[in-house]
Amino acid sequence: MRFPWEAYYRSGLISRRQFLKLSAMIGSTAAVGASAASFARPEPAAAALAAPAKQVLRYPDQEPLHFDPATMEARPEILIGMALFDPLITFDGNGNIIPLAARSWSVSADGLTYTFHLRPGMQWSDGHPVTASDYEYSWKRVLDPAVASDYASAFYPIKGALDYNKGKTKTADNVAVKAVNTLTLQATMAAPAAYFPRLVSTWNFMPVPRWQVEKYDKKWVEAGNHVGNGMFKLQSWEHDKELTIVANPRYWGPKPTLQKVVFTLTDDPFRTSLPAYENNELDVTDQIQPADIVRVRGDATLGKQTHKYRWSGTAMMFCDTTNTKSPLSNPKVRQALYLATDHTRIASQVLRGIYDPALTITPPGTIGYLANPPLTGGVAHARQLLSEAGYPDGKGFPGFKISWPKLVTFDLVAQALQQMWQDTLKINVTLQRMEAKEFQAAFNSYATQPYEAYINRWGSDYEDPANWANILFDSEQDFFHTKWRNAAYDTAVRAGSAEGNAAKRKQLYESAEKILNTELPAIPIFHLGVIIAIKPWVQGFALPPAAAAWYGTFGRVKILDH
Amino acid sequence: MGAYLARRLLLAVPTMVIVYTLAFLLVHATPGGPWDNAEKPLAPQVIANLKAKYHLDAPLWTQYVLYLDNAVHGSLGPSYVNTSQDVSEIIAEFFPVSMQLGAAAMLFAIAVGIPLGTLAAVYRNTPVDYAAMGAVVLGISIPNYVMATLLVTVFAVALHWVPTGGWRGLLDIRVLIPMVAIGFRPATILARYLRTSLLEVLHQDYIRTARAKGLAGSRVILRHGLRNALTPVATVSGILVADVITGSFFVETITRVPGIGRYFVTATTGRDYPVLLALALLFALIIITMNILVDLSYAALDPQVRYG
Repeated sequence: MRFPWEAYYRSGLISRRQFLKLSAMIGSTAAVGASAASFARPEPAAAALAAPAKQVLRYPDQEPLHFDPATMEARPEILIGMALFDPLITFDGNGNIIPLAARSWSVSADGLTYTFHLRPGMQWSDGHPVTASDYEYSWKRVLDPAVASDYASAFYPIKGALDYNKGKTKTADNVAVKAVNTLTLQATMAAPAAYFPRLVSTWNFMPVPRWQVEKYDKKWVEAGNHVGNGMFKLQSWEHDKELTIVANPRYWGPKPTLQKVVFTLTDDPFRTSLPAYENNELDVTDQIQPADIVRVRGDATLGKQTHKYRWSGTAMMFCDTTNTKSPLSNPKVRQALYLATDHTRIASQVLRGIYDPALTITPPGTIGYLANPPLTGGVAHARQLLSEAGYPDGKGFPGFKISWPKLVTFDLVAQALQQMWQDTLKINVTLQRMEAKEFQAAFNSYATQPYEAYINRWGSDYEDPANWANILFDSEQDFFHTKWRNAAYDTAVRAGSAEGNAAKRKQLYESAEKILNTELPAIPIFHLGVIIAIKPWVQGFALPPAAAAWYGTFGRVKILDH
Repeated sequence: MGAYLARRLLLAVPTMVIVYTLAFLLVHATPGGPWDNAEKPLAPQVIANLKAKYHLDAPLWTQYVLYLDNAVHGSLGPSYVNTSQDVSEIIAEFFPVSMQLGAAAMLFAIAVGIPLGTLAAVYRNTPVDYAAMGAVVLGISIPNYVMATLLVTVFAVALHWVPTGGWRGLLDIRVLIPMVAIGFRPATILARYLRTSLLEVLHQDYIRTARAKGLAGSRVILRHGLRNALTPVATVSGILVADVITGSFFVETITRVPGIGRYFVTATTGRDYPVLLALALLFALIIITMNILVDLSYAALDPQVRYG
């Protein structure tokens, strides 16, 4: 129970005695006792676990769209969804496979066929047995053109998947996923794909309960209809208000200490979660924004409760490398811009230490990451390269335009880059911020992009170069529309994606990364990260570095007595 | 009266069609579509599947007719963003919350605005009047989302008197901050109108007569003054009601109220065409209804007005 005069007490306007007297006059003695006790001991002295009924975590989230693994795509769904379903396997922080619903797995000698052996005796949250056919049905469902899943392309490595999703084949019969028996699932690739286990650990490969999907159609995701096979199950969901998940008693694995997570749903948790946390309505905040970070760090209480986590990803300035009217088509200009960028200053001052400087493109934690960038020499070398490119001291430099989808951090970075390059290279660039959808429409138009460069970021779905080099910079993909082509790079990353030998694979991707960071179709700026505040009584909570690693995040949490 | 009402209702039909047409054109002319996804650009085949599923591959005029036809038959279509819900479900779920909050805010506005305006008029050109009119200037110049932020910072974060947000119905303490934030501006507008009209009334001959007959000052003001001064205020209230219900976008976001205003914002940034069109139609309907009610209230409040 809270009393309005508690704040007066805290700020010293009234004494403790007066506070208790006031409280006793109005509240019941029991309430005062509880309240006074919590004042006497703001930090939990003894790390005793709270009683099961108090094992509740209050967590902020955006209104999730739904928890259908086939079409989940964004963080609000993924962080809850991965508590509601079990993938076949997952990965630990060191890249080792951890078996979940599959107790073991194997790959054929030609690297094409993966066989997963499910644990016997697993049940869905409604008591149905979990079988290999559930996975077969679910994976084929993602590819159904009628389901129109955003993430259908994640299944394209499987033989026959692309043809079915494109509508070339009318039925899913030719998609090479098969339940050999109740507990054995087999998937055959179109070509060797060493990263397939990583894909399988992502949310789209989690199973759906066919009987509920067929009975309730798109309403199967609502509380009451929703059935999962994860550590938690969906208990209630009041849209845009509150969502509750509770420990699933039918879960095959170890039972979590945490019994319940209550998600407060808002459409802007970035801004609303910090005040709610300060008012003790939440146990954890969402990402603390650059505008708040200085106050939070300086605050006696909040400062001690903040934690910084790595988020696997990189913000970059992407350049149109083929537009001959733009100076950015010259690699030397891109290299000069890269070397003239003070990454440390951007990360620590402009972005106030929320993010880390990115000297290379692939982020730490992913194979191919280079601790030492291939290009060095700083501003002096930058000036020399610019001169070699035909613009000594910035003379005659035609300038270029940088755009970005509206985002506070990009606003700050763009202005800082403009200033830095003006100071060191004496060149001018123009800036144009765009509304997110407007930017994306311009980006998607491909041929008519109204800018020569843009700032954007990529965050890993899973920590593997298949989620970086192969889908982003391979010239057949050209994901970021830089139109950059490099045959040596393509050869290396394609060989890497099929390579089963870990050491060889690492070497291939590192050689590719060297090419990428020398040619610089994209200039790396900062690696992503998150700073949040966590109440001292929450133990074991840590934000994972990539979306697929959300599995088990809530299962590790314990609430201490407070 | 009946004929007048029928004529106004008939006129509402072309108004709605114009609103629909403009909304349709604006929504489709705005750059970026529902699947121009900022985080993860989609594979071309995936976009093709989505467009086919929602008829976005059909020519624009077909889409125009298709949506209108469905809307007239009561189907507002599926949400493109919140794919598990239909637009009519979204409205049924979130609109009542906005209505309740709007009603609370309007009650607050009346409860504060009427006494404030009355005091300002009665104590004209005294510190009371200046204080009241000062509050009016504040109310008119502070946008309601700034007000909401201030209230949250002071009363929730600093003083811990109320939670920072959420919604548990009208009888819960959480209603206070959004209610005051949304209701403050209408309160000051009402006060301003009432002050002007009450001042005018207080100079009328019948007030002088009442005073001459020896009625107490408070009785003169409440029974004779206020009663006559409220007619123009009632008119303004009607328009303010529409304002309060449809204009709470950002307050709902800041105070975590699951109302329809919030949905308008998310639907706009998400280019959720069916939701945007449905909400444009809904808001137009509210404003048209309130305007008709206001015009009808003239007849009820002022015996000199007759509709034939």
